[in-house]
Amino acid sequence: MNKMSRTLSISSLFKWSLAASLLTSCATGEKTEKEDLELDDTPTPITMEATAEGITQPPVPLKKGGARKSATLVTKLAKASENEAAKIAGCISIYNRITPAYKKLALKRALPLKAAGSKSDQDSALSDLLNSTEESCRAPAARAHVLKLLSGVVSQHSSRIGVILPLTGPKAQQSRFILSGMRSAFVEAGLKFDAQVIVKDSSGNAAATEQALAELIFKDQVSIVMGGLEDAEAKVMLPYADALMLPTLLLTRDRDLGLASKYAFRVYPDQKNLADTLALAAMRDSHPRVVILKPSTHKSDKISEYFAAALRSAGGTITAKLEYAPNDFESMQAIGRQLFKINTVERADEYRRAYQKARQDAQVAGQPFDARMIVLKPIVDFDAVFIPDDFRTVRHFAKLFRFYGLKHLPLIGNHEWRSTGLIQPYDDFLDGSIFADFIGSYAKLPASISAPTSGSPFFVDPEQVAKVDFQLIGYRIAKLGTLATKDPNARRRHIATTMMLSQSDGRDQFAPGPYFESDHNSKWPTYLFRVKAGELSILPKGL
Amino acid sequence: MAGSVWRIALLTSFVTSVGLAFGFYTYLNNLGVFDLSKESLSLILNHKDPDNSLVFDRNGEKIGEFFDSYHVFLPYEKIPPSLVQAIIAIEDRSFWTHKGFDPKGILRAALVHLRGGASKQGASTLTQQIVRNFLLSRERTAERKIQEIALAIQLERRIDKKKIVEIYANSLFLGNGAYGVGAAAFRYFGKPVDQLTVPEAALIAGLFQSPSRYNPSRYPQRAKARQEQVLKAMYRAKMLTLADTKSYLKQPLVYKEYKPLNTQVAPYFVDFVRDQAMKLLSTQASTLDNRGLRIFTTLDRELQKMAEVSLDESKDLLDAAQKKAGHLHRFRSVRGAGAAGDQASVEAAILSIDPKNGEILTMVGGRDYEKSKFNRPVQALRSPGSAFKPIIFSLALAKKWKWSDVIFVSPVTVDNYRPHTPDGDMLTETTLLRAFYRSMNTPTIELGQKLGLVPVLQQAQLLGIKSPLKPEFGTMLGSSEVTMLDMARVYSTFANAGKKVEPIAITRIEDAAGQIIYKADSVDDRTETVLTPQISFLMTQGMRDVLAMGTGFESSRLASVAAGKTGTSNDSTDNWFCGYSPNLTTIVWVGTDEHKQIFGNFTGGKLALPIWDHFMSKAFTVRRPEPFRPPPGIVQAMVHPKYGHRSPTGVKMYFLRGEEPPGEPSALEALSNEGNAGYRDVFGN
Repeated sequence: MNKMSRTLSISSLFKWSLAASLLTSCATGEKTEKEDLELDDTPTPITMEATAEGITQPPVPLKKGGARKSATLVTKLAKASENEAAKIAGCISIYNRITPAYKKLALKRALPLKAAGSKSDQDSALSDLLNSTEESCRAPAARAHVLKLLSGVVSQHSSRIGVILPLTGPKAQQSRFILSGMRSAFVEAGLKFDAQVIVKDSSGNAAATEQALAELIFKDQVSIVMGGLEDAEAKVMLPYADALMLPTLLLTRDRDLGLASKYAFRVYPDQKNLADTLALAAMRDSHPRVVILKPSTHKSDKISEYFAAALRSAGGTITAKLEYAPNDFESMQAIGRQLFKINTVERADEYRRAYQKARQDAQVAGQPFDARMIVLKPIVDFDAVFIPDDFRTVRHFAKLFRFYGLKHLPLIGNHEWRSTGLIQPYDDFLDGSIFADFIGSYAKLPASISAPTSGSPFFVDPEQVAKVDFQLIGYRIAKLGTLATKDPNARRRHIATTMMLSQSDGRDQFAPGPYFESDHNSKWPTYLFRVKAGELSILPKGL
Repeated sequence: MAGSVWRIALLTSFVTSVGLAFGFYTYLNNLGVFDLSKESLSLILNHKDPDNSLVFDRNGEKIGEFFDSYHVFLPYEKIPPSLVQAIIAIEDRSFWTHKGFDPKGILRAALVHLRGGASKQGASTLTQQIVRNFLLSRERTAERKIQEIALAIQLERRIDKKKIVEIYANSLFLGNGAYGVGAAAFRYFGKPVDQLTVPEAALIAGLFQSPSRYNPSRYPQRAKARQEQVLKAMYRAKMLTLADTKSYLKQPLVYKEYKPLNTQVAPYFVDFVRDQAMKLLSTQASTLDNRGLRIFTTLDRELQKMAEVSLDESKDLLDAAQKKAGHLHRFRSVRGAGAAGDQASVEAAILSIDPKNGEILTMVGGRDYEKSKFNRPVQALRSPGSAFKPIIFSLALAKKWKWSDVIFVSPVTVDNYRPHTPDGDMLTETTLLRAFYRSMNTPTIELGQKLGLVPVLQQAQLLGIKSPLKPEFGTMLGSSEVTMLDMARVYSTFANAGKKVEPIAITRIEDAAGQIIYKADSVDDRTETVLTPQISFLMTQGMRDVLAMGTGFESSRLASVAAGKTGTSNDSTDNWFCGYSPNLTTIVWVGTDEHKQIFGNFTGGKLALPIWDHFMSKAFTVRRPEPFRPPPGIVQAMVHPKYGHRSPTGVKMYFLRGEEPPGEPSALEALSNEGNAGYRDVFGN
């Protein structure tokens, strides 16, 4: 099994499944894509019988109504064009790339379908399928087996939830926090996490994600899948959601990754919301001209883009966008000089006068003259500075700005500012600065994921901050997962619709109203904080 | 008729004779030859040569003396017989037999004079010379000679011969500032008179006739010739055998170069004592000399020696600094710098104090007293650099700051003042303790800003800085100049659990009669509590960390028994280490008198600390360091040195009970642990 798992290519499976879908679609005559939310085209379990002459109606339908549809399907399939047959051939070709061990497993899945014919015929068919080639797959028996196999495993509603997370690798810790949050949500809902949830390790790479997804689909027959913490994983999972009509809740950071599928949803804090809120606040604070200082690590590229766009759309301007190397004093100093136009070449006359004055002052005071003491007066042609970086960097920038002669400068920040370290010990240079976060008061978090607060509901034990962030993410996605699967009798095709239509009453860590935006992004609240006199206060959103 | 004439003539002659006799008597009487008044006699008998003022160390050993004329009084019994014989042989061979004057001697001298020769022996007896020196002028007249003889006769009737020898031997000038044989013995042979050999005694005896002409220091050949005359005179007077005389004549005279005692043990300290004594007695400098004062001081001769040795043995280090002193300043404007490119002499000084009682134990004012008598510990005003920082940090701790408080280290500016801090220290965070033991400038200025300049200056004065401090922020980094004594006062306060004790060098002064004319105030009267024992202890622990893991790390092995702080002013112009154990405070300074930079990465930690270490290590062998005992109300905790939270892998910090940081983790450490991922890395990749 392990060997098989290691070598199984989910892309192959996907294409295989896609072929099944195509086949199914061809067989049923239904469209493969629909624009509306009513997903009536969800594949229905198919039962088929393959003979040497062709496909016949199966003796026993698997599910209510299945026989009728299967008959139709088989009929349609028998009339499949050569073109469709080619698609099937491609599907089988892909199927051939998976390991024999997995093929056996997959076929075992198909055995309950009870293919007609003698034992030897079945064996022959299996053998044929195992060794299928471009030619052999054209054999109707093989085709029939493929259809049986695929249709059987991708269309059932089991109420099981598949979770794919990088439990090993750099994001293992975050994954564990997410799982912890999920468990909290299950406990809160009175559900048994271990019974309902199957967790797979993606190891943070696409291949492993495909493999895990294949197992969840074909082996565990889950009803929905959650995961995609790494972008690479999300990119793998996203197409399957649509192709397999499999409800998929993605944990991707990138809201633009592509949420075209009706079956894919994104459940994650939203930087765009943060940026929009900050831009609005900046305009309301009469700070239309903003400079962006961002670290060269690219971690803040997205929010910087969103903020710039939001500010521009609100009528503001980004007057400069400067990058610094974090923890590099010279880089930050250079940023300061650039920001305030402290350029001794361009302002040579001014510098010369300052130099002479400093020298005279030193003589009068009987002090040694030191040219390093000369700093040209800063030129400030902007209203505020957006620094999407951690509180530590902000503290140092505040001191650097003061060093350059500024007494005050409004600063704008993101969730990384939120820390006791921002205000302790307090620097009044930060007075009036604002930042946005996706968590408001820690005191209002679910009891099961709350962490000790540091004397204020706005701060938790610093070592718990990351844990709380990801627990809350896990909690929220699990909430939606349990919501979607809570009715075991519901048809799977309705799960996505259910999610889109469900609304929060505001008591379950979601803002009142729909859980998702029309673009399938979950609605995460954004909180705006202001720093004042060494304390934080939450401002009304949108100020 | 003839009979009458004869009778008349006889009568007339008689009357004339009587008249002449009466007139001569009247003449002599007017000269005073028959009247050795009580006052005159008293002047001779009670004459007490002006005694030197002596300076003693804490164990009563002489370390200095103040005098214009050098006297060492010896009673007759203490004068070696050979010396007495030598004096008598050359000056007054008939001394023991004549009655005050020697007609034969006068005749002998006259004959020699008439022959045109020079007498080896004067015509005046010892008694005559005494009379001449004490009572008469030096004019060469017959009247004065008659007076001299007559008074000498009378003096001989009043006092015995031995007393005359004693007066003679003790009171006459013998060159090189020495009066009397006792002083001369020290001056020329560097030893007491009872240790003189016969040839040496002969030399001294030969000096009475003309101390300047036979001065051995200036005219050794003449002095030798004169000594030979004395030895031969002794032989002729049968005081020596021929064999001995020959032997003595052959013996070379070994003079000991005269080195004033003041320069032998603790020259700078003795100078300081002179200044202090003058202030204490409210007298002028000259009046301390030959007043017979006995000045008892605090100097510890053993420690003083160790301090001198420490400087001597640091020669290589100081010479290395010497090569880097002042080289580059031609390119820069430097206060106090001399001509461009000239090189200054690198000096060093050591000052030690017992912090419990303020007694100055050692004072080495420079590398070579002969080259420079400038007493740097008390006369030089120098920038203390970071050695000033304990003043600021002690105020901060007293104002409820804690060693664990965190400061973001970024450039700071105060008005136009921008202290220089190495870039490596920028963009870091630090606890107060780490900023202190690493001697970081910008956190100190920031702290000073928060405390206020005026309170900091007041704290400096409170702790013992007496030199005027400039009311500017540069003072917080030690730009205002202070003395080593100022710093000793400050650091002794920390060593003494917050009690400032005014340093003293003199414990008491006695006059010539043995009366105490000055006594230092008791320790209690000189003590003022300026810090609580708790704050003082916290500072001490901070300064132990300077040694254990800070700028004094080179001497970390001493951190268990000592504490201290480095100090380096701009461009290493001044280099300090100020440190202490509970019973010994020592301040070391290295720099140039011209305030020149010392290039080549020299600092207080690299220049002054090794000398301090050298001295303290030796000093601890005789002055065992006492442990630093925490006062009540102190607790310790392991704290992260940068982020200030409790951490089992942190450094040991001390706090007032109840002020220790809570066990909460630090956001800064949490951030640090995230590495490059960033804090709350929800959106990172």
